[in-house]
Amino acid sequence: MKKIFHTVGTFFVLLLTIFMVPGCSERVPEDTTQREIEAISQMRELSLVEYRVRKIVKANDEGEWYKIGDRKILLSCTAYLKAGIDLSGFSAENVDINRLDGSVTVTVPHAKLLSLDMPASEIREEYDHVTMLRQSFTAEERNALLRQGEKQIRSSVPSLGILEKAEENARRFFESVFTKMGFTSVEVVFE
Amino acid sequence: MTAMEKKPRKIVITVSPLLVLLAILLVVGLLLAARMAKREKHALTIDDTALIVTKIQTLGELTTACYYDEMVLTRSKPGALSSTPLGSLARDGFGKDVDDHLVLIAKGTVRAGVDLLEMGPEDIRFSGDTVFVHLPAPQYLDIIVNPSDFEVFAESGKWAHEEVTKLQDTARQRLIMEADHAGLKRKAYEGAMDAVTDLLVASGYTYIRYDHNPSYIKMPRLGD
Repeated sequence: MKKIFHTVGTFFVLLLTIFMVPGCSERVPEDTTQREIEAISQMRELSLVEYRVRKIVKANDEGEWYKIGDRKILLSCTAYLKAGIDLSGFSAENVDINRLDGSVTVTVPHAKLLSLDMPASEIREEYDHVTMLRQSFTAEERNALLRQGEKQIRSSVPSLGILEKAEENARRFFESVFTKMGFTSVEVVFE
Repeated sequence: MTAMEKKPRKIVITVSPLLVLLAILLVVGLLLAARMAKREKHALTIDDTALIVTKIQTLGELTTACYYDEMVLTRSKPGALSSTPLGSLARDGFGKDVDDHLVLIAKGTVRAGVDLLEMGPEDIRFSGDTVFVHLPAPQYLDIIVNPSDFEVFAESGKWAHEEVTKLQDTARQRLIMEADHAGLKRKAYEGAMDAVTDLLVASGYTYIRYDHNPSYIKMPRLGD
């Protein structure tokens, strides 16, 4: 009988160890690698189009087998995407002028996404349901969900048509500028 | 001897130590598996929902300077226990902090430049090999602090979405103040002049004359 008590005692010690040890080691130390970042940096980017988009971020947390009940959350957010061209490498080599016929060929890089702004003030919690035995969503969990939403918005950029629209506007922009300078024919090439 | 006088039978259950050990191992194994499954499923995933384009706007913004900063945002409020006798005892008797705290680390970016769509025909004049340019006033074109720019460093107690949003929004105000202090608008205006000069020189013009925007004169220099 003593043996059984001893075994059962060992079992409880083991249980305690299982539940306590991982709890202490869950917080992984942050990467403390020193980085140097310039507070102010110079750039040359021409934003030519802005898309305002709306997205619903929804998650349903049914929990693990040992958790009773579920949690659901619905957040709506607005994001502002700006696309245009990076002019940082723009020089005289990008402008090919033909004085004889008054034409000019401007070579610029392809359009890209220049900024994505997802203001906190435009993120609303539309619905939140947490059953009695579950914990409410924490700020960290909500932010983690929104991060995923941001990532989904970013990955949707190629299918949105924003880059095509930016290049269309870039063509118009350069045609207008060079026409004002007196050129009769303006060609804009993206490469 | 009658039946009542019979000596009660002793029931003896023998438990093999090996069986007990096996049972313990099974339970421990199950708990470890559950723990691992919890770790794998720890990160909640969102459903893939549609993206609705609500507005498309043509721009002509020349961004020439960018300010980056990191900041710590903190907010505290009385905790659920603070108004109870237990909370008072913990606070007054043992000097324990019974308030709820939220500490965020925010990384933000301010992009500054000029809006070329504000330029009218009178703002750019060509005369031989000289161009006269009047650039619009520089402005902050984007102030960006996205969810991926926030890190929840510490969180105790319950924080409603609106409370968190309010704290996150202060990051934008602080970024504007810091960018002002760093002279970002002046840097952006000078960068815009350089960019426009390069474009015009590449197009064959020799002299570029700037009729400075009045706001440029008043702008603080970097480090002022």
